[in-house]
Amino acid sequence: MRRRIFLGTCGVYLAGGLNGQTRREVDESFCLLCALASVVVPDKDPMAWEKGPARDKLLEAWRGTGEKERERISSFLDFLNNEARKAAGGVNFGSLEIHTRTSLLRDILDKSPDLAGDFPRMRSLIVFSFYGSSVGYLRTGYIPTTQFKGYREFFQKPEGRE
Amino acid sequence: MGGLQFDAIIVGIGPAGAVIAEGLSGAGWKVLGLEEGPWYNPFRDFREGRATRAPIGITFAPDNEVRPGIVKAVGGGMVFYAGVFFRLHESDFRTSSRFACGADWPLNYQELAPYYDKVEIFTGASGSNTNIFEAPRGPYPNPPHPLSRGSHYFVKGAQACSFHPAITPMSILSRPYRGRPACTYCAKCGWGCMIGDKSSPEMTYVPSAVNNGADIRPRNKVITIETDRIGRVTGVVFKDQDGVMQKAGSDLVVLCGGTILNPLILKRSRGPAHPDGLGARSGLVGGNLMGHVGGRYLARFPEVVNGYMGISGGANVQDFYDRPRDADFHRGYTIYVSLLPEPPESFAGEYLENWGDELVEIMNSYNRIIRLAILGEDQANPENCVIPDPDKKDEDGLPLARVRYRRSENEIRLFRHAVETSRQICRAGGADNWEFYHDSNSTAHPLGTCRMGNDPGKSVVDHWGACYDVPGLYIMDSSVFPTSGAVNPALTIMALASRTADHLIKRRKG
Repeated sequence: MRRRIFLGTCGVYLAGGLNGQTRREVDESFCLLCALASVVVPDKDPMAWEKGPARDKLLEAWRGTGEKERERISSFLDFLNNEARKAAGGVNFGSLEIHTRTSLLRDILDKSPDLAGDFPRMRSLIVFSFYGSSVGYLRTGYIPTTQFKGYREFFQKPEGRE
Repeated sequence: MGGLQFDAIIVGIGPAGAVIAEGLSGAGWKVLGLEEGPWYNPFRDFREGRATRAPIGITFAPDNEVRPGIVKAVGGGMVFYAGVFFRLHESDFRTSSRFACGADWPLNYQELAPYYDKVEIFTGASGSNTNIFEAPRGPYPNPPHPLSRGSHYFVKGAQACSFHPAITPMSILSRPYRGRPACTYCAKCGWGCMIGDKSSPEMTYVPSAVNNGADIRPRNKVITIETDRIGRVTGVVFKDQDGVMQKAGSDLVVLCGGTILNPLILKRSRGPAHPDGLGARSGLVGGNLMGHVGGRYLARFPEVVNGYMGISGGANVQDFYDRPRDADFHRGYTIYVSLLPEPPESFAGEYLENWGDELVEIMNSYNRIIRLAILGEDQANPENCVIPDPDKKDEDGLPLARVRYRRSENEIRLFRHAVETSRQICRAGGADNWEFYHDSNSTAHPLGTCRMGNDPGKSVVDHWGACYDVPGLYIMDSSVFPTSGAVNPALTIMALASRTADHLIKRRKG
């Protein structure tokens, strides 16, 4: 956990240290990621990915992601955005209606095995951010039973413990 | 042999090693216990999240299908286990003669029963003696834990199907016992019990062994077991926690390193009388690796059950423990209620692959889902094995363990049947049509690479765990199981170890 927090913190500092152009690219990618997030975990609150704990958590995770991984995700998001523009006469992915975004994503995943292979990374980032935030706990009715701080909650898979 | 002399040296202080160390030291023996892993302090390390399942360096054959998960630590795998504490059934000891599969054990249930009792009393097991599929037995030292809501649904469904649900026995205290507190149901058993109510060895047998004077040394790695010119055990060579090579002498070494590591230690312990390593005569060291046919079945109920709270176990069904009448597979399985993975992000992120409305629909019912554990008997296959990796070595230049395990058609059929039974139970209990299941590609129960038997040509050790080829060497842990049974092996490992400790003490007394 400490290592993860440490790496996460490094990520924040790294993002903070980026030059203007790179920073803009990172920010643009993050906006696209939020648009994708609203398709992967469509919440009943339409603002859930625009502000609030889930978005904050995703931003933290995004900033903590390594450069290579971020590039890979960004290229997926760029591709998604280009496809949206082609399909909707120049309209960005984030500006499409949610159901149009959903069908576009479904089409892309069906047609391109390479992108489908990359999708779980983004899904994971989004799902962990949403369901690991207070809004996610609220939606699932989860009551944390941990009595003490310090557990490595999801360092290891829950399997194989019986 | 130079170095200190001991009455017995125990290699590996997991469930078996801890029980033997406690037994022998209690009889006044001078005991050295060497454990390669760390010795966690439950009240500090578990509470502060310092305890980890350190990787132990296993490699896998390209066609391997199941990854065993094992733990190096004082207390062994039980440090991080959920506390399910079944006995084997009478039929498990006679699968070859009664069911024409597997192998008969060189002992029967009745011989082991007093040691099951002994371990249950020592650890304060909790349960109810009402399981009609188990051999008749006395009461547990502690009453059963209260059933969770999910277990109530499970029981209701099982009864509606005319099955015979029973309370799952646990090595978790349901009330204060011998100075330890009762469980607080914090659901952290799998991360190391910080309360002290889970009766894993580091909370029970190890402290008692230390009180008896046993010298337990964590982070001490046994390199070889030494033998003399005529092949008798003389002691061990080990690397101490400072990295210094040491020797300790004894005419009795009990190897309790577990299913994966025992074959490596045996094979690298070559001597003038054992040029191919110890126990090599049968050619079975490392072979017959088993893991349970494991999997999970998830179902959803109409009201909140909070399946992630409390402890695993709950209720179980063993109606198909011995081959069901219509089965197209050997032997059978146990199904019991286990904990749902938590927190929810872990469940959504690692378990499910859905996204969009589908994902949200499932996750909105997270607190209405229960998870069942399916545990089926595995059939031993000599080709499923652990061997020294020909290429990859550890930091001491010793070969890593290379695992090769292929699933059989029998396992696939058994699992399919178990899923159908789980579905039947849950639907009858009120579950809706949503379900999720998977067979596990990992196992926490590797078993059987140094099997015990009456025939030295077909087994590595005899019914006490004495190695046929090597006077003074005993092997006693999960590796000696001839068959896997269809229950968690912890209690049987400890009962076998307790029986062997008694045997060694009696033998020395003459």
